Amino acid sequence: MEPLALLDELQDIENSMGRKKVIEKGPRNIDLDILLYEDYVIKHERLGVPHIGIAEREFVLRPLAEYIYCPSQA
Amino acid sequence: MKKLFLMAASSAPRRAPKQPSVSGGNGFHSVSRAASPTPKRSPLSRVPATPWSHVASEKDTASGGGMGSTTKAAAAKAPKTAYVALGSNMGDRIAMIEHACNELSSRGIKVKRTSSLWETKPMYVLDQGNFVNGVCEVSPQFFSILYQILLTPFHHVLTSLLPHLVPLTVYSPVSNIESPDNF
Repeated sequence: MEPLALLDELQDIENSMGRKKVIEKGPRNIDLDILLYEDYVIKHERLGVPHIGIAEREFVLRPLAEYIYCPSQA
Repeated sequence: MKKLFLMAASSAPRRAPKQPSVSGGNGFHSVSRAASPTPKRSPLSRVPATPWSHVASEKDTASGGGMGSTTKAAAAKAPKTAYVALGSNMGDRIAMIEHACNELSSRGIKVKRTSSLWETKPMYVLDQGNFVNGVCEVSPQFFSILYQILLTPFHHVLTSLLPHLVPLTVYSPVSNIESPDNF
């Protein structure tokens, strides 16, 4: 699946769950964003990968950091 | 930012017992599973966690240490890994995120692992309710067109047409060149 196809699916899920965007970055019942896709760097009018907001968003960094591979020292 | 509960069972041993606050006390604190707003165990937490060794071996065999060194065929077959952020601040927020994860699975996007869910204060537009945020690791698996045909209820009709299509290739120039008569 290519990144734009994944984006289509994510937006379709948002729409199917009845997401209504009243205010930009306002209340929403569901929000789905592609943060990373392999090691791709994508600059497209619909999609930027890595996601432009990662660095400033603690609510993204914390869950994402849980995936960092830390080999056991023991 | 409140940690609601752990979603991926395997992520527990990997993580430090207490995560340092990077924001200098802006309300980050973790909450035990017992303090989760949902009394029932979440379906999200049952997403089977894939050990890291599996991911590593997958990368080693499939992408050969980088996309540049792989053939097109291998790159197409190799399962891709993407990270998707999920967030919600309306309704049953956790149920919304779980529903979205299930939707991903039902669309052939394999949810390999899930992070913890975090309750977070809104950014940008501050006058709104707290969010619940998480990140899931997904492996988007697009089936080939042929495979999709085989999965359709009418696959026996479609595949029965194949023998009728094959003779067409006899008339292509390539077939003529390869025929023994030309040698």
